[in-house]
Amino acid sequence: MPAVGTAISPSASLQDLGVHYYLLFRFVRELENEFQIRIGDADLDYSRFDTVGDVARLVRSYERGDAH
Amino acid sequence: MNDSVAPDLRTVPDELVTTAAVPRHSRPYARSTGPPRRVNPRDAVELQLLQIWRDVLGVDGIGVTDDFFDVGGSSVYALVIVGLIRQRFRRRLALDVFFSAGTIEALAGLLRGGRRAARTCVVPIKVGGPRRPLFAVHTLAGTVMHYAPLANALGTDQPFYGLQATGIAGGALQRTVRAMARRYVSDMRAVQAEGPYQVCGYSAGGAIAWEMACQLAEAGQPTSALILIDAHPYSELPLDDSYWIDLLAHRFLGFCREAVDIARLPTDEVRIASLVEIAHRVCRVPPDYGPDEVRRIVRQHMSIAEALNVYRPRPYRGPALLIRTDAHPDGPDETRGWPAVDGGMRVVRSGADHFNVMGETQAPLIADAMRPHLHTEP
Repeated sequence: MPAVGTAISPSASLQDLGVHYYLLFRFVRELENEFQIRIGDADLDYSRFDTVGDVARLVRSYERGDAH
Repeated sequence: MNDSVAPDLRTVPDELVTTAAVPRHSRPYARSTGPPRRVNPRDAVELQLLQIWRDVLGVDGIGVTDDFFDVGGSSVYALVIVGLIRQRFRRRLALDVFFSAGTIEALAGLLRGGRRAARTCVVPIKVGGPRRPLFAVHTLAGTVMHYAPLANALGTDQPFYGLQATGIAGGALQRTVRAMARRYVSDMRAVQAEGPYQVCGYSAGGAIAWEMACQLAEAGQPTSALILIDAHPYSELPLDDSYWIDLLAHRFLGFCREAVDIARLPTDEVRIASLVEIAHRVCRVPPDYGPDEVRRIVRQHMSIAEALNVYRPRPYRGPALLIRTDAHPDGPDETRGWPAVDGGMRVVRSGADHFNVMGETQAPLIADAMRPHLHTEP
């Protein structure tokens, strides 16, 4: 886990930040609550949650309404 | 980041590993539309029966719901299998009862009926062979099913025994790693009275295997091979029921919409009810499993997690092997902080990840890494 206060860049790996594969479904739940979106099944794939940037792009696509 | 997604899983929940080879990014159990899939063993009884069928029929890839005759069975084979069931389970099955059962799942149901607490934690996964036995310690789930691919990959000449948790074996839960190790050493010595011993542990099983080697050393018994597979010396596991219920849902479904939706359900009771329905739908539990069984599984996980969170491994002087899967080292200490004395720990890296390292695809590679450290003599 990174030290508190460590800068998190878009290329930071979620795994390295402590969001383990098997915590991803809870992470998604929190994203959905925070951004008031509902992520479609097609996007619930580990490969779409590799980095912070991946997650940001995914959330933006749902906020714009151009996601699945 | 919300606390609910933040815990540092130094010891990750191994029960999430299936015994089938599953691509890393797949959703293995959701909405399958192909031919009927193989159902892997869900408990130690099914696992042992599967190994017997596999050995006698000489066929790989048998599922617990496959019909005996569909996988090459005959009345001669049935006689042999009934004899082996009598030896291993100390239960007599009439041949017509065997035939009417027809599947491993049904046979396991018969053998579980009226079962009392097992007298031992030892689960013989592969019996026979000239080599020194290898004992493999359960993971967070308390079970040993995920060792089956590794046991098979090590070859027919390598006896392989699992050590399952007392709670899984039907007894009282052990509350500390030291108590678990004491019990498993005792049960192991009922199989192999004197050392040198060979012990391995995957994930949470690593710390318990380590403690077993320490206790054996105190008793003057050498451990010729102590093998840790992606195990950490220290754990910081969450201790709330909801977490483990959600993880079980994830285990059954993979990373998909339905798993997320279960994590959104308002109470543990509602989650458990959903979990039971899903578990039966994807055939990941024996047919008689209900909410009480799920609660028992959750309690078992929590009990082992609590024990691991407070365990501090003692220095150990002896040969040890750590097989690591992570691409990113934790720090300068290649051994992850295992207190091996005098550089007694060797480290091997695997290209797998924590969750597929024990699957059928990776098991031969892990077996190759282990083999030089295992003794060929009894």
